Parts: sequence; structure tokens; C-alpha cells
Amino acid sequence: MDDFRANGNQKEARAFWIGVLARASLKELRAALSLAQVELPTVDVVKAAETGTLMLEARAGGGGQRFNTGEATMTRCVVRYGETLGFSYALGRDKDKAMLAATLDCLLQDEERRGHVMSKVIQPLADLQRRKRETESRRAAATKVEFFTMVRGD
Amino acid sequence: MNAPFLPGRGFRDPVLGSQAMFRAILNALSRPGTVVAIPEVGVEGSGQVSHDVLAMLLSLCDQDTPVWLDADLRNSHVARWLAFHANCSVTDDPAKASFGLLRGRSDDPALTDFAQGDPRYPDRSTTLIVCADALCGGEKLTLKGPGIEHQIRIAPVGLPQGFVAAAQDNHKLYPLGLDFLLVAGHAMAGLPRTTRILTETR
Amino acid sequence: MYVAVKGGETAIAATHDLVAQARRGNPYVPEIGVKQIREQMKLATARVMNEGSLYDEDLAALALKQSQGDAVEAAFLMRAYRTTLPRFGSSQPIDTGAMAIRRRISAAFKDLPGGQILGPTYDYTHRLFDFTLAADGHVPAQVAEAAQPLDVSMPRVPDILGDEGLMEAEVAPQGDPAPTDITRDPAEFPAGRDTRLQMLARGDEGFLLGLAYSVQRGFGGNHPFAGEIRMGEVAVSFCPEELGFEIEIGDITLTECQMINQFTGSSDVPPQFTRGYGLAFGQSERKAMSMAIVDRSLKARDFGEGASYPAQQEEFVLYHCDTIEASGFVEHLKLPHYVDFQGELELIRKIRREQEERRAKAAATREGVEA
Repeated sequence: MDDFRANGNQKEARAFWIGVLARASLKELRAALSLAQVELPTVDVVKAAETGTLMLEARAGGGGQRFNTGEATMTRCVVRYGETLGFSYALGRDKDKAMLAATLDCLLQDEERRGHVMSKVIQPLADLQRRKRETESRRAAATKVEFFTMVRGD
Repeated sequence: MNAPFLPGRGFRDPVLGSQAMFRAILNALSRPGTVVAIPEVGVEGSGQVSHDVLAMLLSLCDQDTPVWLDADLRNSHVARWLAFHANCSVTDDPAKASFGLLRGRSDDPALTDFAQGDPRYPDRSTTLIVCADALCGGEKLTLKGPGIEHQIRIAPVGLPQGFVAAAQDNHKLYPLGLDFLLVAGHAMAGLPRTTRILTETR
Repeated sequence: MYVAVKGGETAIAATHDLVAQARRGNPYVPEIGVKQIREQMKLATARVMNEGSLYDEDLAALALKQSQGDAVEAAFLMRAYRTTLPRFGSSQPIDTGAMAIRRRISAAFKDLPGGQILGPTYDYTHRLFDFTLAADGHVPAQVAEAAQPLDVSMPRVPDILGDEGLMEAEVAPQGDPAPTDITRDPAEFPAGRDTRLQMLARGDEGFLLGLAYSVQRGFGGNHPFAGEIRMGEVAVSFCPEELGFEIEIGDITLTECQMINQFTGSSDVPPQFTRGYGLAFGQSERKAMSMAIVDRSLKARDFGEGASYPAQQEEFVLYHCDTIEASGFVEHLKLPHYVDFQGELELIRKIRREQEERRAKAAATREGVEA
């Protein structure tokens, strides 16, 4: 409907890179950008990075009635490059990261530059996040109980 | 596809702008009938609604306050501008509205259709921004009530049809009822539910 | 009654300096950093986030530093800060079924699908001091890593029983309505489950722990089993109005507890286990367990159990479980009540005077009679 809302197939890709950018720290983001030699465009700030809260909903029993379980801090930012709006949303209060992520959202919507930024910035960050999670999981798996039953008598 | 939606600017300075505007609105509501200048806070938005009204809505509304807009505005740039900057939802149900913008269209709901509050929570009622052409030069109204020493007069021009009589009925509902902000040009006047409105017989 | 009292400004300014010095302690001991608190006092920051009802590990660590480790004062700082922020919206309901699990145990089933994952826990420590921690330069032991990560998703234990019809169902009401929010509208009684769970989630851990203990000791008529406890990271999803589609904006650590309780049933409904639910920020097992037990005991009305024990009385439990409200009301007694107390003083003097006068009068009458 709205032009700045992505159309069907782009939505999924865009949700993916917004999620990767949200989970990356400013330090990781800057490192990935300098490694990939990405030149950032000068953007207009439409909505300066702003910190607020998000009410976190959960479900009773995990799958039942919705309830509010408490809030989390989050930061969002909107920038403009030409006629493209770049958005960023992430938990936490890092405004510099919000600005950088919104700028990258602009770049990633530009079909000519998407390929490079995707493969050199987003994908490596996503791999880093996946490896970190996998390590945590393998450490937890090492504490898995292997029961054995003692047979008494014969 | 529509033309690209590029939202205009919100407040020039989000903190100082919203504070200045909120202070002006508080002044207007605590001194009913006194004409208060609407501060210039650098709001940019194209469309059918003045920057002054947009700035007032922006300082009042957030994601917890549904805003009633008439059918013309509901799908306009104004609604998208508000959603973008104030993060508020736009409703077509006056009874659910925390705020509303009344422009005097023929299909506007009656004032009694808006949220009146309930006896335990009289604050849960709609605050309406009511558009007028001018705040002086029209039919003289004498106002009395809290925030007014003795009495004050105001003479708005171009209020929605039947508004004065409906606002008089609204006052009778106290402690329930709506609060109004009359707006014309760069000026506003508060007309809370506590204010008694006397029309002068000619 | 309160009256404005002036004249304490200088004393107050001096106390600000003094408390800052007290917070710093001995200046020859290195100052503790916020990052150190965040990384090394994780369970303390989790409690501050829970009772402050705001997920932000850095802020919780700062709050602990600023309050010299007073969890209640730190939670107060979180709540106060929260009120200065705009709210951008509500998340999609969190899916704990998709949790990246770091700990998951069941005390009801030994061989549950996905297994018993002990994770980082003090449960199997001997509560003996580790004096090597008191010495500088202690290096943590190498951590074991399994060849394979855990299953991507593990079924929740009550859902396994639910498949057999043995467990009270937890289903969303018709239309899956948005929950009430006690930070926007004051709680009303009788409270809905959504209100109860929200209030318990931000409730004081100590208060809920005491109530849960009372239930177990017989003041509640329930015998709970820890059906499942899981802890790990869960994605937070949000659908911004201006974007028009759902995105993930990061992960948070949660602890979830599903308590299984003894059964209920009627002539129409065959007997079923009942359940209580606990959910807490960070690794907060004691809080999640206490919450789950109290959640179940507050279902007394729904099961026609008669609310005869404190833990079953929702107004009592919910009105008094909030750390900030409780400490605010108790500690406000420190504020000057000079006029109040003057009134009391005058009243008691008057009563005594009148009593003495009555006595004197009575004695005089007696003397008159005797004479």
C-alpha cells in the first residue's frame, strides 16, 4: 500500500537485515563496515534516533491468554536518502548504532548496492550471531543428563 | 502506486517544541476563553490541516491515544503524518478517541458520540480540537467557571453548526464530558467541560 | 497532614555528597565499573530488571552501582527512568517455545523430549566458599562443549500432558484480545489473568517467595510439581506502524516456569492437573517458580476453591506485591509528620486531662457523701 513499505518478497529480505543489524553491536557494525570498505551516503535525518520502550507481551502458560510482562528499552531512527526512507529498530539505547543501521537500511534498499552490503556486511554479521548462539547451545548440551538405570537383583 | 510518502518534519526541536506547545495548551485549558498564541515549533506537513493543528496533535498524542479524524482525513497524508511522528492510531469510532479533530463537516458525529468518561474515571473522555475561522468578531459568548475571574467573553466565528448548544449540554454532564480547544489561525482558546457558556440575547 | 518545611536545603546538599562518598567506599580500592556489574552480577541485575519492570541490563547495572547494591532502590531508579520514555508499542507475544535454551529441567518427567539440560546453576554446588574467588587473577575453568547443539525447539512439558487431555488447557480467549496494562489503567478487581500475571511479573521476589512457601506449607491447599523450568534467549518481534511488517529487534533472556498442580474436575469434566505460570527477565528461577505457584493459588476462584488462605486472596496479594509501592508507603513514614503527631499529642493530653477531671470529680463526690 504505502510505497515505503516493502512489497511481498522484499519484506522478508528486509526483515532479515533489520534483525541482523538490531542484534549487532555498534563495534561489530563498524568493524564489518570498515572491512567491507562500504562508503556511507550522507543522509537526511527524518526522525532523529530516539529511545523509548516497547511493552513485551507473553502468553499465560506459553500459549494461552496474552499478558504484559514488562517493558524493554528500544531505540529507533529514520533517515532519508533521495526518496528512500531507511529505518532502524533495536532493543537497547545505542543512538549511534540506530543512525548507522538506518543508513544501511537505505543502502540495502538500493538494488545496485545491496549485493555488496549483503555479502560483505550483513551475511558475516549473521554468521557471527549464529556461531555465538551455536556455541552457547553446545555448552548447554554438555550439561545434558544421560540417565542410566541401575538394575538391582538379577 | 501513490506518490512517495515523505513525511515532513515533526518538531524542529522535539523536546523544546513539545514542551512549548504543551505549556500553551495547559495555559489555554486552565484559563478558559483566554486567547493563547500557538507557538511556532517548525512542524512541516502538507495537507488539509494547518501546521498549528498538526503541532498541537503531535504534542498531545502518542501510541496510547487513539485519534478520531473525519472520513476525509482518515486516509490522508495527515493520518500518515500523525502515525509516523506521534505513533498514534487513527480511529473512526468517536467513543474510542482520546483526541479528535472537529472541522465542522456535515457528517461529523454528535458531541455525545465521543467518549464522555465514566464516573470513576472522568478523565477517560475525548479532548476535541475544534476548528473555527476566527476567535473574535462572531456571536458573543460569556464564559464563567473555574479558571475565570468573574467572567470572560469570546466571540468565535465559523464554529461547527450547533456547536455552542452542544457544548452547553456537555457542561451539564460534569464531571463527565468533553474538553475543547477552539483553534483559528495561530491562536487557540480552551473550553473545558467546567466552563459555563452563556449566549447573549440580542 | 503534610506541611511544607523549609530550612533543610544545606543539610540535604551535604547528605548528597556524603552518600556519594559512602557509595565510593575506600578510595584506595578500585572503583567498580557498570560493565563489571552487568557481566559479573547478572542475577542481581535480573532482579532489578524484573522489579523495575524494564529490560535493560546496562541500566540495571548502573542502578545497582548508584544504589550501592540495594535492589529495591535500584528497581525504583528503573521505574522512575521508565516514566520519562515514550512507548513505541507492544511486541508480538513472545514465543518461549522457540527459546534458545541454556537450561531446561523437569522435576515431573525424567525422559522428556529434548532432555534435561542443567545449564549454569548453583543447584549442584555444595554451598562451600570458593576462596580462590577472593584471590586476584582467578581464571574460570575451561567449559565443555558438546559436539552437537541442542534441539532447535523443545516441547513445553504441560503441552505434552495437554495432548493426553490430562492438563488444564491454556488457550487464548475468544478473539485473542490485547492484554490490560496496569501501567496505563489501574487494576480492577476481580482481576483478569492478564492483570494478575502482569502484577506478579513485576512483584517483589521476597514477597512472592514467602507466599509460595505458605502455599506449600498448607496455607493454600496445593501441591505443586516443577513441570518445567527453562531459561535462555528469546527473540523480540515488533510490527512498527510505519513499516507495516514484523521484524525482530533483538533477543532477551527469560526464565519460564510451568508448575503442575493437583487435579480438579467435576461430574462433566474428568479430573485434570491444573497449572500455574511464571515468567521472569534474566535468569531468575526463584522468582519464576514463586510466581507460578502464586499464579495457581490465585486461580482459586476459577476452580471454586474458596479463597481462605492469604495466597489465594488476589486483592491482598496483588496490592501488596509491588516492591516500589510497598517500599514507598512504608518508607514515607520517614517524612516529617510533625503536624500529624502534634495533633495526636494534643488529643492524648486532652483525653488524659478529661479522665483526670472525671476522677477528681468522682473523688470529690465520694468525699462529699462520706462527709
